[in-house]
Amino acid sequence: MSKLRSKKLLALLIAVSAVVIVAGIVLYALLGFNTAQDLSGSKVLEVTYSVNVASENVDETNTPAGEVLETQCEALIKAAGLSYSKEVATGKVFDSDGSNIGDSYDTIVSYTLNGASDEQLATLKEAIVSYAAAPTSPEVFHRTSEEVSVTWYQTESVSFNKAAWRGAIALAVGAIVALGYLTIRFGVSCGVAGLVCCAHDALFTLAFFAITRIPVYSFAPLLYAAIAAFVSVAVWAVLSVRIRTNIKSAEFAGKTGTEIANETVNSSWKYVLIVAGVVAAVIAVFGIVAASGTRALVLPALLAAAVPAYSALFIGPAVYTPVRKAFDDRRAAKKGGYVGKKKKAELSE
Amino acid sequence: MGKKKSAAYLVLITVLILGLCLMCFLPFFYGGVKGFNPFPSMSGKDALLGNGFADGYTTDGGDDYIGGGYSFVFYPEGVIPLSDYEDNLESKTGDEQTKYAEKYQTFGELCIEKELLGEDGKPGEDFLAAFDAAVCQFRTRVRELNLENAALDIVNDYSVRVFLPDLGNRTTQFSVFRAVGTMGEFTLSYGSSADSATPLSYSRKENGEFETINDYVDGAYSMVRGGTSYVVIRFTSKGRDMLQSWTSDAANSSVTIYFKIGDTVLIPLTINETITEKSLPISGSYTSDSAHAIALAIDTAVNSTPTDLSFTAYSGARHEALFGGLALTLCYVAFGVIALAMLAFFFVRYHLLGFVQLYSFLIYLLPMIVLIWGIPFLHIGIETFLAVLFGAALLSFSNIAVFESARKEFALGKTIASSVKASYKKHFWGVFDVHVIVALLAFVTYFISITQLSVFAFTLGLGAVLSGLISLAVGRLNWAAMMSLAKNKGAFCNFKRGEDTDDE
Repeated sequence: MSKLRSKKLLALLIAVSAVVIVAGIVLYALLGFNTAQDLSGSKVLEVTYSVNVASENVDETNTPAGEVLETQCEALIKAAGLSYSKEVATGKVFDSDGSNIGDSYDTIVSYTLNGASDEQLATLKEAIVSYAAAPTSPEVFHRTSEEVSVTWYQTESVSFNKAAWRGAIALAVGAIVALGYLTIRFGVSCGVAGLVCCAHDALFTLAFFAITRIPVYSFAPLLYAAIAAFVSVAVWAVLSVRIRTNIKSAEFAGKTGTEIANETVNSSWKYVLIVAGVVAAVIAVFGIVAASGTRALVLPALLAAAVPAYSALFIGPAVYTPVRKAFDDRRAAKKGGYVGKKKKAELSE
Repeated sequence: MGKKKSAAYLVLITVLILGLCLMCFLPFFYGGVKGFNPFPSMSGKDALLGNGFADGYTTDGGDDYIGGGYSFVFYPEGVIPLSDYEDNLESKTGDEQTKYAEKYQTFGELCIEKELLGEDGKPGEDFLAAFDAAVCQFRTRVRELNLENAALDIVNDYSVRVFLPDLGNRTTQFSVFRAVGTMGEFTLSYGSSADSATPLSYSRKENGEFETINDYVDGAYSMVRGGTSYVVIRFTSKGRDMLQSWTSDAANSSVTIYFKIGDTVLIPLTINETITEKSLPISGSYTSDSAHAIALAIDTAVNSTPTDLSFTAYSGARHEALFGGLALTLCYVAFGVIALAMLAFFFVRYHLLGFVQLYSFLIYLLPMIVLIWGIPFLHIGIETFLAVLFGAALLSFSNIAVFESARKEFALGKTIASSVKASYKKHFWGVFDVHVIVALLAFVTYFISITQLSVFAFTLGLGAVLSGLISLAVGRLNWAAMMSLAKNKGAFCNFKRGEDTDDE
């Protein structure tokens, strides 16, 4: 592990993190996140059918007429060379007495179509209306003019940034307060390194989603960043506890802060990986067992478990050691006492 | 701890756990109609997770609770859906039909009155400016509702769709939608009926300009006091004087003040005493959500760019949960799988010491369920599951650290009691610090953030506090009690003398 954490490699890893974060910020500024899961800017074909269509069966096959209509709609969409995602909703109206929401008893089937043109949507609408009106179609479709209706529309999401900026401020303030406590309990070096790790992990996670364009729900990136920040603070706090224990330990007497940090990380890397692995396993199991939509929300959070492990092992110690050394030197200079050969050698470097 | 005391303690803690289990998992009724069933109540206001329980929990409107929410499309005055236009046209004959057809211009699936169009045959600048101002108000209102997954879409360029999560009560849902979609100028009037009420008259100011509503009203906000929700309207000094004059004789004959946006009366307030305060709290049959929405509607109407475009709601729909009807059930299954895997690890590695973890986990989980049920702004969502799991992970890692340390001490030849003591002594401050740091981060994040992140942070904060208390106090007590009943204490914990232990 100590070989892995050579100065050159550390410099390389820090450079990689910096590049990823900067690239992520630039891409976010230009393109934002890929919030395709929200289906913003979608084109939707909406087929509404009455309670008669929903409840009556077609004679020949004894299939609900609504199901027959939906199957036909889907066949027409496929025939037009389009793919779709489907949502079924029930119709609601404002009650005529103006005090409640009432039922229209309609079934509304919305097909969100990928890459459809206005012309294609108009053609599809015409085809479905023609099918419903055709004498060969089930009678219930054209019993009255209100049994089946078709419309299409394009939506454009209006975004709210309030949750995002308040969340970002909340995480920043929360991290500063929590790491302030860490500073009081474990020293400035631990606090500074923890803050850097926490900021790195939250930003790296956000940057990753901005760069890779993984489709996410609009609220999700901040949640992932928050998970990364929480895991980061918890893992770094555990490492800080171990560093403090080692500093007090007789085994490490006479060693410099750099040496103690290095040896602590060297003896703890397995455990950091186990913690990150367990958190990742929990997220993976939760994502795999839960429903498909949940999977799309939960599985990207795996990154939020991986990044804190990386920063705790590489970024944190790389920040901790020079800060610790600077404080040790300052303290030694204040005391004006004997510095020690090793520290003197470090100072002369 | 002696054997008798240990047995008594274990019986008590087991009864407590069983009681909490019954309370959390079995629905029951009290006071005749009030139901106590944490899971259904916790799932309210979640648009992502579907119905995960089988007891037929319904919203106040009588619908089965399925998660998801409601949407309505608001069309501005002079704009109607093509289907309505076609239906209206079909219902008319002769000249009436021709006139109606000439009145509208079709734009895709919308029809717009020709009066609103510019010379180029497209919607005119005045209409577009009014529509943009209205969209700004919609945006502010939907955003400030702070409801998870609430969404606003522009549909076919000239209409607005609002999606709000299921609020569990159709009347509240209606009030919130109506407040969000009511556009126009905010006006005050008083009298015996809304139609004949005397409106507030604006006089000319010293600078020659006419007064506006801003000279009388500062804005509005909502509050909940003693379980009652209020809409509070803030008046300026001039507004207070005006109110005082309107209500000066209210003690003798009551007066009704009408708070209107556009033509819609949002609040008809009957007053029986003279008002002398600048803030006017108005209670009614509001819930916190409806009071908040009405206050927002008034505040935005007073403080935003005014628009005289009124909107009508069409195309309402009740949407199922985004992740499907079984999403919540599957989340519970996933949670169960993770909990079983965690317990399996403890029982395999530490044998009967696994019971300490089982008890710790239940003492953590059950109060968490009760807290999530009892705290109004918390509910079950993906973020809540993740936060509860994160807290459980903290608890498990703390116990593992202590158990492993005790195993090492025992291997060196110490007695089991001194191993446990030394282990807790060694890890107490470490475990304490980690929990304090996570709880601090969580609670500070909760106080500033909104929606999903605030729910995640608060739940995690609760989890960290409970996990810390349990791992440092209750877990140790449980261990001592259980171990005192064991004949072979080393075997109870699966600890062995002189075994080759890893560095913990």
